[in-house]
Amino acid sequence: MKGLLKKDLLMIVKYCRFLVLMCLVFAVMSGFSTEEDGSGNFFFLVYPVLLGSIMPITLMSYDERSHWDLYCSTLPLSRKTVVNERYLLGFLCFLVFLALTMLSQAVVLLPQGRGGELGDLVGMLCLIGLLPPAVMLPICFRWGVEKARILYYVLIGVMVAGGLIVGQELMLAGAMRMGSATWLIPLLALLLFAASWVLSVKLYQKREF
Amino acid sequence: MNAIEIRGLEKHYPGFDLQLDLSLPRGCILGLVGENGAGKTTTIKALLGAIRPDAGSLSVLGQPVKEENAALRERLGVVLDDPGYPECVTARQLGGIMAGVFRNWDKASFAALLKQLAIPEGKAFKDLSRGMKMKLSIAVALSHGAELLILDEPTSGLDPVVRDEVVELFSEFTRDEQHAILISSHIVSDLEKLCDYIAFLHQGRLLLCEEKDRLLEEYGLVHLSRADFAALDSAAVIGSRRSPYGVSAVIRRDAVPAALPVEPVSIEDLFVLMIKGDAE
Repeated sequence: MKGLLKKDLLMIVKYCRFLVLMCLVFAVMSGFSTEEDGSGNFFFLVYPVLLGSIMPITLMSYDERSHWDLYCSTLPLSRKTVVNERYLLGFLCFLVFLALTMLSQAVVLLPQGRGGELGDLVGMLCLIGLLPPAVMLPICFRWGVEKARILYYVLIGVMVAGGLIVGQELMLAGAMRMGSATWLIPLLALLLFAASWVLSVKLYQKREF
Repeated sequence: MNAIEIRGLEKHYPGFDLQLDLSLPRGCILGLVGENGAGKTTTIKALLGAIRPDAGSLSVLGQPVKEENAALRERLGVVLDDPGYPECVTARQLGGIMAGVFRNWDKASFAALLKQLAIPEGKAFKDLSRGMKMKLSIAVALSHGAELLILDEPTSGLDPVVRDEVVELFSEFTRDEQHAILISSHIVSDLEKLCDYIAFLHQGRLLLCEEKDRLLEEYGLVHLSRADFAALDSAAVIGSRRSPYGVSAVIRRDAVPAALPVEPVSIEDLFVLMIKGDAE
């Protein structure tokens, strides 16, 4: 797995550095764009975690173009290891951008005495960040990135439309305040991500190149 | 023990069926010759576990081929027609990646091969010429103590000087009697230079698989008038090409009259005329 991680990190540095930089800026800006009434820029808030968690899919599309998949299947790596590396990388990228976004939010919300909202926000970002890769990665591993990409656009469309309709008024201000039940959201997102991981391992073992 | 044993392999795709029995003894080089779509790459993919056969058994270095056999893959050096490396990595970075993949990765050997084959260490893979890409792929395949090389069109895109150099590397590899090479190529002259055994694949079927020297002893080339050609025993003729000046034919030496002038046949002529004869 060490070799695969090294390869993917090299690819992130080479292909995704501007996207990563943009996400860092957005993560920082998300805090400063949050208004006192709880509204803010939904895009700045969700884009970094979303991009971080779908980083493996971005890399898989480059791999498909260079026919890495076939070559990789000849290397002394189990198919499970290949899947594990991609999920691990996606989760780490998600965690990094989640931490940055939350740090930025904390800097703004804590002085206003609104620290309680941070928990709600984590729940929402976990769902938004982990749901797309959980749905797309099994499709990528079984049928390739192109088919998964179609689904991705549909999912993003639904999420952005949902965010635009209810996000500004409800997501940041009211709907996130779900009381103790909010903590179920990240748990649910993590469970979905884990189930997707197991499914991807099974599907990738059936793949022919 | 054979390095490769293929028994009753079958793989069916819409419009294409592969059926094959093949073996490669250790210490030998087997050349797989065939036109585009003959089944060379499908055979190689089946040997690598990248596709699942519909029937038959395959074993490599004494172990059955499965999708999951990391220990076996440590012992294989693979060069694919399309090497498959990320476009952005340099040869040096690729060495670092492979050091994290192969337990027996030999950094010094890889560095020496890069130098020997004049591969630039700091140039991104996408900026290398086709020949350089293939050389890099060959350098990787030879840098982790592989016992069997499986090479799909490794010499395509190489200029004649480099091809000669690479062919020499492969010959050196098989000086160890435990090593073996399966190589597919369109460039039949390379295989003629390099291989101990030649296998002809045509439309998913094995036309023949024999020792190269025996093939050259067994078959010959004749140039005859149409009338003389018609008088030949048809069982002696493997394949023929008609021209306004007569007929060139590959024949079995032992099945034609001793007085008939027979020239040595090249593997390329043998293959082309066999296929052409088949078409006729």
